[in-house]
Amino acid sequence: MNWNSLQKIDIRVWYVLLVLSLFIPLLKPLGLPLSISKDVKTVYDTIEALKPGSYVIVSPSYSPGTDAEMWPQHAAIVEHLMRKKAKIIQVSLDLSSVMYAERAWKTYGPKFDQKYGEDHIIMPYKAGLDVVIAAMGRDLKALYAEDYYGTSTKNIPLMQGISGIKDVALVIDFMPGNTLVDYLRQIESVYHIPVTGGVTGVCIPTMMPYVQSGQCRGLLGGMRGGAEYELLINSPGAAIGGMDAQSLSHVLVIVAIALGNIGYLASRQKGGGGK
Amino acid sequence: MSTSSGVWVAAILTIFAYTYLYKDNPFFKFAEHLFVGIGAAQAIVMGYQNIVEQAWRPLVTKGSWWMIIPLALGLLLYGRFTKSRSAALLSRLPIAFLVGLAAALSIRGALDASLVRQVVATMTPMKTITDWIFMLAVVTTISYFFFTAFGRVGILKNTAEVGRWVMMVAFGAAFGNTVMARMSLVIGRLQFLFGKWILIMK
Repeated sequence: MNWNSLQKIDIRVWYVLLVLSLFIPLLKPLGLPLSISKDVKTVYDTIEALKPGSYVIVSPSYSPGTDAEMWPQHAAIVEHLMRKKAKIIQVSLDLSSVMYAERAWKTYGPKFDQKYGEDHIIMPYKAGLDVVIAAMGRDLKALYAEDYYGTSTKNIPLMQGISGIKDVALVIDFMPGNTLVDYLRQIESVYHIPVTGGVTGVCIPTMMPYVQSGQCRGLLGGMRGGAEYELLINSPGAAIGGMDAQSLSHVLVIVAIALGNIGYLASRQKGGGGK
Repeated sequence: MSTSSGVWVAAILTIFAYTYLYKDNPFFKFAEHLFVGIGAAQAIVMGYQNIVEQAWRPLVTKGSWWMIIPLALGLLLYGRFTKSRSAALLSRLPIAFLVGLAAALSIRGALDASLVRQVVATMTPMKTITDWIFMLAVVTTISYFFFTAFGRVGILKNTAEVGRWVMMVAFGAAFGNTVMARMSLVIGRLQFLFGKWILIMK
């Protein structure tokens, strides 16, 4: 057998196999079991411990590029917060994230009989990332003089019941970048307000030191984190639907790595000088 | 099939983008240029709105005269695009201001959150095998970063080698997470194509 050929399989063959490994389980789910990780359970328990009427800052800091990973996490958490009757203040640190704040409100607000202005408020985008987060800590009301729709926050009942960041029970950020770390530095560390959140798969290694030290109260990681949370709140959505496809595609990647290395090692043993 | 024109546009552009997997082609180029153009346009509009809402409007309607300061600093930034050397030098003022502000803000929380409490969390009692592995990984990785001659001889040479392997395991885990993230993005697109466009998936 020409082992070297294992290293020379056309990349487009792998693309076709990858699409099939993703498409088939999406169309016909395999029902592979899904376990709940400790970090996701910690996020769930933190929200479960909130008293009705607690103020929670929800910060979707993502854009359409990471929609597939972040939206399921964001949606599941907002649904859980509404079940707990928390008062939600959605803030946006990314240009495009206001539309996700609005989408979450429009999807779940009517379902849980929430009133805009009393139970929920959406703040406009503010440029500056950690500068904005620091300003939230210093004077939340001065930073957001108007909501996303241009109404003065002085006339919004939800904001009349809050004096500043010290009245906030929890901050939840959804980040594909570094905003969750910024919240830990500017809010958790300075004002000792609990902070948690969800991140893309790429950002999990960045956040793990903060989770293990207890600074970040648990973590949802990637689509998998969203799927686990959907399972915990018993509200299956897009993330659970994608888990079988994710598992099968990972099997394909492992097979590709194994075949490539078998080809390399075998051709080297034969003196073929595999590359 | 979906009847929404927005869904159709998004679906067709998604397919155009994926045609690159076969080879570079005009459909991919069209989608790529459209994406870059729309992204730039959105950034310009949002930037303009930020200036108007956060500085210009308070200045002219509320008499917040101090908004002249950020506006002037912002204008000075463009000095580096002129041929005048003195104007280019002036652009350093807002840059120095931004760097100083960012450093001051970061240091405030970073020292505690990213240094002190991380060091404290590392000093855990050695109760389980995981604690021992953790300690070994931290010590050997730090020993890898002794760059003096002293750091590359004797026992430190061996611990640095172990530290190198520990880092490679960490990089492997990070890459695994990246693969997972990229697969999720493809799944998201497939769920859109077959769930919202062709409507053959729940």
